[in-house]
Amino acid sequence: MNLYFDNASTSFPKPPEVGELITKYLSEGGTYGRAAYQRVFNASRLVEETRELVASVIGTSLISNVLFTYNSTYALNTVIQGFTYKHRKILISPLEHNAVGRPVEHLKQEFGIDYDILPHFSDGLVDTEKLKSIDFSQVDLVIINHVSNVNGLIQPIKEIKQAIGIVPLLVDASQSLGKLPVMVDEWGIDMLAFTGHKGLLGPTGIGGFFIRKPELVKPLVYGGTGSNSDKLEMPKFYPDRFEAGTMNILGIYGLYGALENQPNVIYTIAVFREIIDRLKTNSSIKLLIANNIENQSDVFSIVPLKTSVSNFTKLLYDIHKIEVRGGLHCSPIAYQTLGEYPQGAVRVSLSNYHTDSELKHLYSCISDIIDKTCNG
Amino acid sequence: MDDRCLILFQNVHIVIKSEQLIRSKGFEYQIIPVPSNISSECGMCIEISTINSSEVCLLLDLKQINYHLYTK
Repeated sequence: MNLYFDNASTSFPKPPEVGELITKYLSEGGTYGRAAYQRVFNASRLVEETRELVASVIGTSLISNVLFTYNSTYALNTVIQGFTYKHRKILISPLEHNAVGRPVEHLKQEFGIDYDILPHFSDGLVDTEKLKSIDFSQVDLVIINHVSNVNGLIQPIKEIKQAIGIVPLLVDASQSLGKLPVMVDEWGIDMLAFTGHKGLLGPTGIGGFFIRKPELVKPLVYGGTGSNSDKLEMPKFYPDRFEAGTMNILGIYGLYGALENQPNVIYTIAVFREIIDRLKTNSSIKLLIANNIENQSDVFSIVPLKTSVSNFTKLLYDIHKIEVRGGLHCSPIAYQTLGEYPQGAVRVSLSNYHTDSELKHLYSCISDIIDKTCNG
Repeated sequence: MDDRCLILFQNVHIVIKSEQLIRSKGFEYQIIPVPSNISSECGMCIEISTINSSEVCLLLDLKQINYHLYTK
């Protein structure tokens, strides 16, 4: 039985092909470009095939505009720190992770670039009606966490983009990619950051971003690209401009293995929703979820009312070997929005590999800990 | 070797994309290092038979791929 329910941190298990591709790379080797012998060509080809696969998953025909980094945090920092802020104003969603919160706070402290939180409902859902009253002509950038890593709320990206018009939209798809449809071209997304090791089920250390207009952003890292090598300036063309240094080819092989072998969701949505409904009515806990179940992904959090977050998390593991994560989940902004700062919550995050019986077992274990902490 | 010519590209990304195209159409080709007398670049380029150059160039043009044809 799979008792790992911390997939919002990193996914487990992975498709077996992830390990197989990593082993293949370790046995075959080769870098990206820089030479022309077969070993290099094979590795380069797989990198480019992986870029194509990512472009397909995020729904864009602009394959060269998909850039590899080491994770979402690197990707988000590249965009946020490399962007030019003419109006010195950023708007962010109320459920941002520190991967966005800290870079924007850095910009505020170092350069006086202001940021505000978008109007929203009690669960953090952006209020798209209220967006209509905002003067976006004085806003440089809007940043939205597609799926919250705390309550699992899904933001309406397409509607938000329609409401903000030409203001560039940066989407953090760390929790959504591989779990939900993402349509960069259809929704008009300007920039999107992703990681390989969560919903996409790849290894850690590989991620990246999509950028529709690369000229809007300066590179975060400068160095060798295997192109324009006679010049000290970074190339203007991409992906080279944003991929200085030897990339994580090992990670890209693993990601390729994952992308070619994405599993269907095994558990049924009805069982998941039934568990949510039952937990919602338990007066000994508070559930952090979307107000409307249609906006709910496979992540949710529990605030125990009769014991501490850390004790509840520990008991779940000590007694039932259930692996979940308690605390703030690097998301103080989200917890402030949801009124549970600074104590945080116990987060449950599913895998597409989970079965109905594993979800039912999880529910019985959570119920048992609720009973134990209520009855002393 | 005089009946061969080289196609040079901006970066590896485009080399791979072009190789995929050329291979899919069944043209004979070879991936070779960019000769140092042509460019200081350290990457790869595609060598094809000169007799196929017009067709290969047309193929690349149709896909709006930027390249430089170098005839020896």
